[in-house]
Amino acid sequence: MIAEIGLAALWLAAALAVLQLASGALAMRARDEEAPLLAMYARPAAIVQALLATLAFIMLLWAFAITDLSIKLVATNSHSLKPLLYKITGTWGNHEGSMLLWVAVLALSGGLLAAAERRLPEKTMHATLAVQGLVALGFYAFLLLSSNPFERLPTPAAEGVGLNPLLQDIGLALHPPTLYVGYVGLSVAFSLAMGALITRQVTPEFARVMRPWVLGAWVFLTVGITAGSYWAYYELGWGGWWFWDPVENASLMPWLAATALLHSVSVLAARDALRTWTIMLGVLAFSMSMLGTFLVRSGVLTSVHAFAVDPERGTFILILLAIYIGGALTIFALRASSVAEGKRFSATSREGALVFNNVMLTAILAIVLLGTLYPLLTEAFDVRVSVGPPYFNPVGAMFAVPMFVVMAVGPLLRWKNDKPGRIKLELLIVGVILVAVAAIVAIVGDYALLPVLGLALAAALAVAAFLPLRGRKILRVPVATWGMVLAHFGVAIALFGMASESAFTQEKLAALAPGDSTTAGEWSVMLDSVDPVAGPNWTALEARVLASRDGGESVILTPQARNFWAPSQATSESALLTQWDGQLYAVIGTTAGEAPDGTQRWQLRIWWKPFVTFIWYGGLLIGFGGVLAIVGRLGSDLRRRSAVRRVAERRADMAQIAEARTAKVV
Amino acid sequence: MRLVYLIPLGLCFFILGLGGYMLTQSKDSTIPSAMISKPLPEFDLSPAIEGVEGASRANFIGGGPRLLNIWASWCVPCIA
Repeated sequence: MIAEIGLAALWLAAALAVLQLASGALAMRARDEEAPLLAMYARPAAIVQALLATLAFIMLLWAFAITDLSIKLVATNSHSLKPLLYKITGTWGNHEGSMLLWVAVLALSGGLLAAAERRLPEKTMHATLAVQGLVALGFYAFLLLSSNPFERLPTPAAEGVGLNPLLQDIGLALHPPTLYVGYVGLSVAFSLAMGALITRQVTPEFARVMRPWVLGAWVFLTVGITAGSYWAYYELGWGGWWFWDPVENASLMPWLAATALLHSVSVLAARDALRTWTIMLGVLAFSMSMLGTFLVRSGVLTSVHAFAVDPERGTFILILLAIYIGGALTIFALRASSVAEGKRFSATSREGALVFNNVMLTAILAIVLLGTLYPLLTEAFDVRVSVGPPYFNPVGAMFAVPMFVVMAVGPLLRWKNDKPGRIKLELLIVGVILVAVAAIVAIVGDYALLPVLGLALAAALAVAAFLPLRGRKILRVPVATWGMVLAHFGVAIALFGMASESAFTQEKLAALAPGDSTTAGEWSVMLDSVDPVAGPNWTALEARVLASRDGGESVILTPQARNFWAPSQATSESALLTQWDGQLYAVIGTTAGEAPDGTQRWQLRIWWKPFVTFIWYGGLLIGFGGVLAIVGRLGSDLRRRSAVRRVAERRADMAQIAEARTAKVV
Repeated sequence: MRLVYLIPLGLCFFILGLGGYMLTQSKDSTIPSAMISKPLPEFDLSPAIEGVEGASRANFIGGGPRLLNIWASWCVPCIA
């Protein structure tokens, strides 16, 4: 019954999406006085749809939790002996389940938008809901027609195939859902942007409505990418935290677009400028998250993530992409010239700095997009290439370095027009730190250009992030401003982690017999023993490694080489030793022949990565800054609205009193 | 209508067209080596692991077939 309830809920939700689309579209066409009967259904349709899609997802969760092997998806992706946590998280560890999660979050946010948003003009709201309905409908169709998660097997399977062992990790519980919420938040921003464009209401009021959605999506994307990066770092056992893999790029591109969008929507809200640019970025951010889905699921690119590849699904997503993005850009081309460009500003102003960084972010996005699609492009001419860090790092840095410099200075500038002379002292502080740190690092050691630049920029940014607070009463600084300060400081922290990881990492690969030792940086590492161990659905060879720093106390690390049997696959479980100033990373490899005395030798790989954890602390700090910005903005918005309401009430009271007086006099 | 606003649409259709074309192509994931029928370059490398011999061109001269794996220095998965 579980599967049938889920499937029925999904079909009903799809029907409601049609209703939402039709009702929104009709209400938009009608003139103000004669709203058609159907128009009133747009909001309720969105809300009920949210409940139904959530119900469908809960049904699938349930089926996975009890391992209902009569459902094809469960049988091909789960196993009765798996720990319960991985049974549940396995729900979205496959194509169909993850699309259902996507759709459920999409419907939930559509419902939230319909239930809570009363600030926009009704027509814009209806246009937005119609677009949202169209987007949801496409994904319902995708699920129901080409990837039904509730399909039954003719005869139930005796046992499930199991989940990819790399996914049997707590990372799966965190990383995909947060990223999906981020992607879906961008779809709401897209619907709002299209609604505003269709009804020609690209106003600061619209920007204030869109801002929390963009900020929220951006926070989830930031946290999702951070979690994914750390997960790949410790789970894959390759010792790296970013590989410029197509799928990683697919999550980075929407983040870059969302970062640009969040800054330009702030300019629109505060200054009524950058109207068409904000709309364009709204479309771009969503198209990047759709493109990411296409690249990951269609299998056109070769990637470590390609775990649910199917060209037929690729065709479906490509058609959806053509309808949504092609349609949106067509409307944009037709309407954009009728949206006035908004207020003007000079180059040396906060808007000027924000525009510059918007352009830089978009340029980095273009660089990443080109690098990701380039293999596809050359393959069309039968030439195979692979694009890696030698392209992405320097070419990306060409735009990232000026962006970081402007980011240090921009928040110090005033809106509309400012003289650089006013902030001479601050410019001097930032400039001196930048040059001093770069000079010191370059003198102390022989490092590559990019890490040196990264360290210098990180130091300058860390100080510059707090300069906007100078001369202000700390307790009276708005919460949203604290959000900006912390997010910018987080960028400095993350940049410091990345630069010091690539500058100072010490690496050692050694073939050791039990009892042998080796050194990596200031660590001396001894292989104590290698023993077989067993887990619930795997067996492993576990190495006991004793690590001590500068001859200090030894710490035991236990890296494992695991063999899962359902499905059969080998993974390497790295062992991490975290200290405040870095991480020791140990991986046990295969046997490496015999030592002269006949004992077995093992490959042991050791990294000492100074300050590598700062990358993820920085990422979390950026996300936390975003949360503060949402809280601050929503809080001040609610206060303003209640103040407006009180003034209106008082005015009504006064009018009544005055009326009563005149009545008495008469 | 200004022509500038048509640029994003054009780019979008270019990417969609590329994706669509590649979907129709059969995916061949075998990659022919770029080294086939080229002479082995001169090299002399120190060992990656302590206690193992290094490799140089001399190790591959004469005799029967030999196996030499070549990896990109920046390929992190290959290094691992």
